Amino acid sequence: MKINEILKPTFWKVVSVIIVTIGLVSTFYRFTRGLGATTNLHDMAPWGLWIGFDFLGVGLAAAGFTIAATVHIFHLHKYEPMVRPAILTAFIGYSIVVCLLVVDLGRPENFWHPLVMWNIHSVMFEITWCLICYTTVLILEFAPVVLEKFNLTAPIKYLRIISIPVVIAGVLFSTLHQSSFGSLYLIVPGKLHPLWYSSLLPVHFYISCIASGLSMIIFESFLIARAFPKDEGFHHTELKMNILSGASFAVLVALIAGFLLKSYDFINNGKISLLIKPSAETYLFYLEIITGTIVPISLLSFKKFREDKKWLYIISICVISGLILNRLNVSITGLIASSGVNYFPSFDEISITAMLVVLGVFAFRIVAKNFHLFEAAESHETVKERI
Amino acid sequence: MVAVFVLAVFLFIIAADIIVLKFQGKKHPAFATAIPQYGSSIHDENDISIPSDIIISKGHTWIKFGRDGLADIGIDAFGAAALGKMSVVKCADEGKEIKKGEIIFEGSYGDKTVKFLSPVNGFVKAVNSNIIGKKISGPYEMWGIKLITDSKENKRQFLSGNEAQNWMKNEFIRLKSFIENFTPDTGLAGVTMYDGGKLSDELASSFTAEAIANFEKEFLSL
Amino acid sequence: MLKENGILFDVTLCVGCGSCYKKCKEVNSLPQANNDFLKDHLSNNTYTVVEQYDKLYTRKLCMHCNEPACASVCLVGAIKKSPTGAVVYDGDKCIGCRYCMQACPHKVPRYEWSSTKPRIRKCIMCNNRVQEGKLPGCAEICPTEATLFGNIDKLIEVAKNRLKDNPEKYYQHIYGLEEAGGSHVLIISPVPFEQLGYVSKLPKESMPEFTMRAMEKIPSVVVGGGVFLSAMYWLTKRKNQIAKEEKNNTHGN
Repeated sequence: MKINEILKPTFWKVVSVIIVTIGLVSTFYRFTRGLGATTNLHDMAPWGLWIGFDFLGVGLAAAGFTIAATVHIFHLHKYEPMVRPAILTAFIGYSIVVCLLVVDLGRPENFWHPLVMWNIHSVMFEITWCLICYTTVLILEFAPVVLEKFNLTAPIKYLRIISIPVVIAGVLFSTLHQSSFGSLYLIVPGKLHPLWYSSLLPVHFYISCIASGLSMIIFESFLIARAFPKDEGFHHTELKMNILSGASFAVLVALIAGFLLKSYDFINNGKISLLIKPSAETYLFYLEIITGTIVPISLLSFKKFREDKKWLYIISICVISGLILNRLNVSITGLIASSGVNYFPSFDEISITAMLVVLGVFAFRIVAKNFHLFEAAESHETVKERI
Repeated sequence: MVAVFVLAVFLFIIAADIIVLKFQGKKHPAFATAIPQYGSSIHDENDISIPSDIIISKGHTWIKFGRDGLADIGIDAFGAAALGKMSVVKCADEGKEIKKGEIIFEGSYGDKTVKFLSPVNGFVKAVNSNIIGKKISGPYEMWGIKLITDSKENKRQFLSGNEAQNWMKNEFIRLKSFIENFTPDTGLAGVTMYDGGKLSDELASSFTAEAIANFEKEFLSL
Repeated sequence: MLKENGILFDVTLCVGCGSCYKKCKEVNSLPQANNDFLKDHLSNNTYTVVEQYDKLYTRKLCMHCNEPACASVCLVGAIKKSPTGAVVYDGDKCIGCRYCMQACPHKVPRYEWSSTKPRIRKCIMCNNRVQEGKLPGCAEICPTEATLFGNIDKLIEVAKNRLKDNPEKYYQHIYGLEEAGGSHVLIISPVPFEQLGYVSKLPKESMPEFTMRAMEKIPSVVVGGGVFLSAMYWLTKRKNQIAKEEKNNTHGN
């Protein structure tokens, strides 16, 4: 019966299988024929869709550390039900990022080199190490869920002892590499379009990742409620509006902070005049700011919209769209203008990216189905506090 | 260009999913009509949607005017679920005249009984004896009483369609704060509601008689 | 400092013969890409190129910056500034992230896109030949001495003297002296450099400076953040405890 259920074709299952099949073929080509034959990357556009997607993946996985900090450090236990999905999202997001990085590397077989060959002046080096350390943190944070499933309580005890330092380390690693993704572009002041280049890039990246990471969790709550409906026997997967509204307020605060910082940056560096210069970049910048910042801020300012699930869904999509535009504008749009060439990803680039995203969603589904991801899993601490 | 492309793909997938769900006859959770403040099973989407031929009285009874001049009257989704699953204990007697505001049904949540008031004047033509003692599921299919009534009665005091749904949502919201105020163990009720657990049938039993009277006054008066 | 070598290229002396282009291919054993050397451009098999702008000819090649952006961003240290002044590359270390290409303010590094074991390709100022005591190919072959190779301090001297002695002949700027923190390739020309296709308006600071300003804040972020988070952990925990105790007290009464 179970097999039949799995094999029962649904629209998205069929689409996923097609995407993954095509993606696997593309991956095969990518590794056998090289980057030149399978991508549209070239000397003037050395970074393309894959790197852009790494930016997205990391930005959208940011909830892993913000929610963990909210619950475990600031003791706001109301948000406890979000912790496990957030950590899983972060873990899967980072896995996609790492896979994409390996695909993107010219010499993927040398991926381990940064472990032994150090150049501490490189932002990329810092990011690599933060990614490694933070992924370890995520494994430690998620380990109890897996151990619980197999009734291995002994290690959980030890994990609990180190849990707070682990959470703090996770927040610090995240802070560093989230902002460092912005620092990557500090070294190209002449190349990156001034609409996006700023010495405050790391701070911009950090604030925007907080807003969009939380939006991603809100968005994901809807996906979870949609994918695991109650009438199919799933528990605790439904929307918890008071939690979502609370998170959306945090999104509002982060968006306003980001907007103020951006305004400060524009006024302080005399970049206002750029806003009235008609060019493709300017239009994309407006699109980014309006969908990702102005619309969500104005909607979220009303309690009515924060508490209406339909609007929360739309707002979270807006914020995520804003992040997609921002990260890709920085990593692709903003650099293309100065390179004097055009770049649009090749079929193989797109299919490999799509495949990894589908596999990520699939992995989330499997874990969500087989582990206690949505249980109102209360840590001992919460229980103790209640008693 | 790449940014716009990726964004377009993202939005396309979201839109496609909504269309796919539509084909499957389901509703996306973001757009399904349910009470946002609750994730609870008692407020399933079918509970809040109201058939178009039905009008709702502010005393949480519903009326359907039939072509035969008879009006079906029953208890609405809110009444059927407010303090747990409710079952009808008593209906007004067959063959009697009933005035607006007189008791038409008595229902019980666990060990507590509440009274529903007749929304119109009329003559009780039939009583659905099938519903007595049963828990209500599908509130709008289970009529309780057929009345012969003057259908020219002012219908403006009743609600229907979207207006009724919004009002119903609001009633659930009001109920939430009501429960919070009147449950002795506030923490417990709050937790069950927030975490999306079921409202247990014991909830009503923890209410005092005073709280039940208040509930009738707050929610069941016309 | 003394050993550091550089290249001085004088546009006024260049006749556009293309010897440097051919010699460069020869000494680096690079395949011929284009029959007409003037139509070629920097690529994974062309480290230097001669370009024509009206009646002037100029060369493009790696500038060998004093503080190279490419070397500073390379996470495995595959690109390094050699003590000889050249910016050299070790293909065995490289993982192929191509951050160097992105970071280079002069847009010089090229990549072997068609290979499955690609390397970064760029001029390395013939570092092996120089260590053997020979001149770089281009400087050795140049018939008009438009390309000079030697101690960088002396070359700066030479360039400054030429500008001073013939002010009407030269545009009064040495390209590469201050651009992006200065480089080991210097160019002097009769016309402004943007007319010759060079990246103008580069900042005078070295590019790694821009990153360092952010990177140097990392230790304080780590320490400050760690202290802040620990403090918040303790404070909020204490707050919850007090709130609970108060609640218990009122219940007790």
